[in-house]
Amino acid sequence: MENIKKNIAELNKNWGPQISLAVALILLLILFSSTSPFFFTSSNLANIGLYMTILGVMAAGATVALIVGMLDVSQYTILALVGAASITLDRAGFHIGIVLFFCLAAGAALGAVNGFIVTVLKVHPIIGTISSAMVMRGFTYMITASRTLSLNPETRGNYFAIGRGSLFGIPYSLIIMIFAYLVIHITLKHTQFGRYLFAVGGNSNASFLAGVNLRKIRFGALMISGVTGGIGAFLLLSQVGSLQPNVGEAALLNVIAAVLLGGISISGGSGKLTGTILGVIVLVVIQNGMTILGIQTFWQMIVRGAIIIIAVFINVIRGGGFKY
Amino acid sequence: MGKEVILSLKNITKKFGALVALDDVSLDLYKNEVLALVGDNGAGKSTLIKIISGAIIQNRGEIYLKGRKVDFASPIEAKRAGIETVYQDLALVDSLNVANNLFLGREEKVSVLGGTLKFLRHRYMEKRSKEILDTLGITIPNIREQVKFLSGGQRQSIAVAKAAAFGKNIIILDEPTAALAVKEVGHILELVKKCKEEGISIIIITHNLEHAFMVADRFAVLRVGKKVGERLAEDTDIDEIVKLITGGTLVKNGKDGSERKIVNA
Repeated sequence: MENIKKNIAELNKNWGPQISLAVALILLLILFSSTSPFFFTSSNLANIGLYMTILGVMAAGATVALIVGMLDVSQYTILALVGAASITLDRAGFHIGIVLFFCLAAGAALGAVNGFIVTVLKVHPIIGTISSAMVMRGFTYMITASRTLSLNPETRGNYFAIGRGSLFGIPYSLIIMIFAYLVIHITLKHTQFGRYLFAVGGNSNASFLAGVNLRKIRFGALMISGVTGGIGAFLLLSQVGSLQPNVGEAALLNVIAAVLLGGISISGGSGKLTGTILGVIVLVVIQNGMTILGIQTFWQMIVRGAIIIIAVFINVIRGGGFKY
Repeated sequence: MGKEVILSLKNITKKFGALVALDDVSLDLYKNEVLALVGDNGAGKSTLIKIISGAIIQNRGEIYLKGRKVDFASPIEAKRAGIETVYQDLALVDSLNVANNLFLGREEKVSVLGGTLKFLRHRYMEKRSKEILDTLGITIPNIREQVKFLSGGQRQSIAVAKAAAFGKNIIILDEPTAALAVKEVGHILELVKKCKEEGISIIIITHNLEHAFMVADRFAVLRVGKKVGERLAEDTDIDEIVKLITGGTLVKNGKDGSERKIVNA
């Protein structure tokens, strides 16, 4: 009996958020399937799957930043600016391969700008990334002249082949996302950089005294977060083929909501990618379900805000209240 | 005891603005000894160990390590010279496990693809961590447990073990027994003795003179930035050290029965 109790406590300690999210997900699937005939259809599930990949990739990057204790709220804006620039490149005749490379490099560069703002200018990460996001959004409107941009009709087929295509029934977008998770997982668990992400997030003073270069670690985390914004931009172009300059403006906190929902501690020092991906899936299912049920936009906003509060609240309880 | 001097401080002075934190302090640390550095709050103990560990730099005076002059510009340089410091609350990262903490800053890696990628050697570090803890007689049930789930004594043991495992020359312990339960104090003091047996020189700062007397070979007493006395543990007692710390005078019977007057300052 003692042993079972101990095992349950262990399980809760290590996998608590994941288990509750899996249960929540099953309940949500039952709820939406029983209330709408359109929810559990292959086309809708594919829809969820595609939308999930963009949010999912960026959430993995946001997890890296949050493990070091930094909230990066600029990812959707990085997506917008990189996406707008990429379409411009495509229309100027650049090859899709070059555009893909540009997305990764520009994402990294914008992440590095965030890194500079946070580690060199020492602006608090939330303030720093909100302000850099404002600047980037301004540039996005400038590049697009406030209009929706579309890929060149002659080359967009190449993008759709990736964004809407699949390999043995598995969408390329999903494969890209899984690959990103794999790379980030290996970085977190098996490299010194990854170990230092957790160390700096857990106790930056102790890490400094142990010889860790704090600036380098924080800078690197924001660059990774930026790269995932760039990947998000490429996925969006490949799936949709066009970009509105205000893309993601209303969804600014979606990434953060998913990550917090996934049980990643807001105070840094811990976090699991399995939590992140489950948080992403639950969030996307809730949003999709509400849309399908015809729930009005204002209610959706209210629910989304409430989810963030609940997610952080659960976080607080787990971090400070429970003793194992 | 072979009186080989390992660390020698000469005329160390440190000022913070108009405040003189350390005034012309000279002090030797011998190989394989436990030196208790005692004094009231504001006596300059912390400033002195921060200078030795490279966290701050003295205005005047020199430090010699094994006879060679050293200038530490940062804690990392002091570490490289084999001086490890265990600060009161800054020793461990709570969210990392025991093995990760022991190897924090010194991770063992294996190169892949000719060094383009480097991966952590988890198993090796866990095995070495067990060995390090075993050598010092520290029992931690699970080396993969996050240290936040351990007791204060276990955490302090790990911090000291980390210093001992990598501090080739000297380890400095800042109040290692403060904030510990009574039964855990004994473990830590045993651990200090073990470290000494391993051939390490130890400087221990503590407010608790009973604890100091249980491990120290020698005492150095600071008062308002000056060194006011050095005593071998076997030649002194708590009363005398207290008098030195507070600056009172003490009249005491010497071994031959005669009165010995000790006047300070």
